[in-house]
Amino acid sequence: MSGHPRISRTERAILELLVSEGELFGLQLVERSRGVLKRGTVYVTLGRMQEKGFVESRTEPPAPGAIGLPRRLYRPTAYGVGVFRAWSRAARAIARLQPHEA
Amino acid sequence: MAVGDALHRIGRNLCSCDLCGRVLEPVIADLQHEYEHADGAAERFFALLGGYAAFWRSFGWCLARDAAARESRRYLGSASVAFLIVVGTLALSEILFLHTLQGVRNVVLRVLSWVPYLSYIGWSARINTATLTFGLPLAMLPALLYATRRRGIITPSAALLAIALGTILTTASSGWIAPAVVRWSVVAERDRFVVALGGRRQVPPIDFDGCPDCRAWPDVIRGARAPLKHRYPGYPTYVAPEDRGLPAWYRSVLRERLLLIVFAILAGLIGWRLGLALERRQADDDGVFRTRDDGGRRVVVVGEDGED
Repeated sequence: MSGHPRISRTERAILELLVSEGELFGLQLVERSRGVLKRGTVYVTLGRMQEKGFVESRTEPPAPGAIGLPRRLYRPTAYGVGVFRAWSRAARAIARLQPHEA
Repeated sequence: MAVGDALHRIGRNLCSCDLCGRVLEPVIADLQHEYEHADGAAERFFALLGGYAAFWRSFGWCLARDAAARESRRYLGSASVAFLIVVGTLALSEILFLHTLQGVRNVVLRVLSWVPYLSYIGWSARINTATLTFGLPLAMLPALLYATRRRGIITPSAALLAIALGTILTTASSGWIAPAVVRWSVVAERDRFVVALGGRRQVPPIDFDGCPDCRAWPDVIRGARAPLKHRYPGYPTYVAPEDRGLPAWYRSVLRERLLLIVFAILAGLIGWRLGLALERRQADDDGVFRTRDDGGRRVVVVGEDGED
């Protein structure tokens, strides 16, 4: 069903980290994911999640004397949290099902 | 200039603003942050290595995403239509002027032989490959110019994709399709000759090694690097006169084909940039948008009142 939100494995990993830890930088997500997220693709996934409305971002406040571009902090939206919790409930329910019950 | 500034400029100039801001700028910010907080040269080196690798991977994704966007597909559609019309017109004129009426053909070939460098086209025209060899790179300019004018200012990735596709087509056409046509026409001519002789004379088989224009890319590259041929085992140092200039001939054919590829890229780039310049000029004249410099970044301002 095209109207339902789709959530990939990496998106779930990101949402799980953001829901449990709050606001994080992209590199922090990579470090804490224990190899699930890669540095080269994390922002691609985060960008896609922003398009879907799962996460929102803001630039870090500029530090005095800092050179270069400000880093970006990501946090889940209420919609993202809702989708993640619904998916987690569904995953738990599916895991409880036994073949003989079907 | 800070670390990553060059990457930022590449991203800003080649990707859409949205993707650059959402995907590329955070990657560069991480690179700059890691580099700034690294202890020692080794850590800085690994910060650069990881940051650059992450940037190019994300950049590739952004280019692909921009190229697959709806606007880019429309741009490619317009470019393809213009390309086909130009190539079709060239093919039609080639058939009409060079392969139909003998009188017209003689005049055209005479004119082509007078003009410097056009004698190449004249030679190709004798064997039905002028459009395949020269027409395709030539058509890149009007195709990109038309598409840019028709679709307005779009992300560069669409134009770069169109140029890449045109270059691949030129490479395939000049290096495989045109030589195949030449081979076919040489074989057909020989067969006609054999039939005309009616078996009265023995006709030797065609030696395609002596015809670099009949050879595809891999054979031309091999021929250009091959040592001189020694046909006669009894005379190990002797090289037959017909073989002496062969590697040089292969090298010249290779050079011509490489020049055609360069020509295709240049024609595409000129068409795109020209279309962009004309489009900007017209938009400026119409007051549709103006650009202003916003901290080193060009921002498009829409409307007379500067509504962004």
